[in-house]
Amino acid sequence: MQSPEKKRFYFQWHFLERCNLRCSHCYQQNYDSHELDESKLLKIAQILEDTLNKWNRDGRVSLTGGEPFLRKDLLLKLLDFFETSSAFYWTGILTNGTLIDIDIADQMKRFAKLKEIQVSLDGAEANTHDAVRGKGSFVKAVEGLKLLKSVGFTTSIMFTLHKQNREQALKIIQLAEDLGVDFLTIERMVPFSQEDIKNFFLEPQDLKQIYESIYRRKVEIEKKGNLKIRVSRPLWGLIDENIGGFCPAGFSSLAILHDGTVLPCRRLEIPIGNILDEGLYKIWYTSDVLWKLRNKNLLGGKCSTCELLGNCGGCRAIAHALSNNFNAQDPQCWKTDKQPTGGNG
Amino acid sequence: MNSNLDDKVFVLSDNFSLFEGDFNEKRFQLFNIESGTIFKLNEVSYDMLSLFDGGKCVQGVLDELKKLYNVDHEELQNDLYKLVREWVEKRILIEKAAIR
Repeated sequence: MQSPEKKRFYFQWHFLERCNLRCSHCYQQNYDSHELDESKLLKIAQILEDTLNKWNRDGRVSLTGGEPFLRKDLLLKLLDFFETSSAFYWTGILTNGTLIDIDIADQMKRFAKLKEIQVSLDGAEANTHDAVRGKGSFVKAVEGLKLLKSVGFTTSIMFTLHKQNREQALKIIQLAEDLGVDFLTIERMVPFSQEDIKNFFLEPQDLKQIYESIYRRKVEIEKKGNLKIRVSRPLWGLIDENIGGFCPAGFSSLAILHDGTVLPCRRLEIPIGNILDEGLYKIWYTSDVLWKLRNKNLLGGKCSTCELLGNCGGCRAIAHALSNNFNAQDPQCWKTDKQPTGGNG
Repeated sequence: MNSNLDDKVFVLSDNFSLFEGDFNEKRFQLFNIESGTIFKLNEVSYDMLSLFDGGKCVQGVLDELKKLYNVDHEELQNDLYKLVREWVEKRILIEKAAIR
């Protein structure tokens, strides 16, 4: 149970690297590393728990990969650990959805703290999704979602927005509604190479148009249904000053990779230590990268003087990807000095 | 007691890390990276601890502090000795070697 007076902390834990898909926009460079054995994984889980207890914070953890359902045994062990942990009030799973069957769905029902299972979809139709994730993956992912809904899980869809699937943004909202999904998150893709930038990067004005249309649809759809579209990330505040949010990287979240490597965020690919070698306190207190992320005075470009800084601050991962400087201005921000903000488009 | 301390050389324990940051206000902190405990410091304490680099003896640290702060020598010396004893007791400072 989460305590209302406590601050929260979020871990995104990629406890294995192996994956059954090879998505064209994937952040991973390898797919075949052996995961840590159970004892080391539980050691990491214990470090997370001890840290939260020390900090007096309530924890959330998303378990993911690679594809987490490739090692259902380890996934269940970790869910068991967090289920009985006093430090964690919420667990989630981030998956491609293709390996979910009734057996594992039934087994997961015993976890009261398992509050959400997120399935990634890159398009609302098989051809667009499969173009990114491989033939047949759309049907399996949708079947996985339906199965999860049928046994009563709260479900969500992650849609990674980029140049090649921009036309799918509104369609994915419709699909989420049709499937009875509870939440939809739309995240901008972070390009990891010049080729990615060429193929996937959305220019600021294009992104503005897409965000405006998503937001209009969000307002309509949330009046009449259960689907909630999450808009708590940077740049959404340019559409409506009542939404959006400053990125929690460096403040209240961390990503952990399959070998214990710690990143400020999964999409900000700057290793800041290894939790097994150094523990978490050393990383959290001494990482120069984290201290720079925490210091809003170090933000560059137009972010530094923007009146929306407290509710935006741009995406540090995309800034890093495009300029090799995570404190640079968000390269997808469309705001100019003369442009009014918060005017709902 | 004080003269015994003068020649000793201390260094910050590996279990601790000092931090100075300029956010909207200056921030000085000492972290225990083993236990996770955070100590808020004032600027003087931060400067004192920073000077224990394993190269200077306590008298050398006092000499450096005298250059930084225009305060009464005896008062500064007493404050430093008191804090050094406290930091040694808490194993924040570790004696490296006597230089004499």
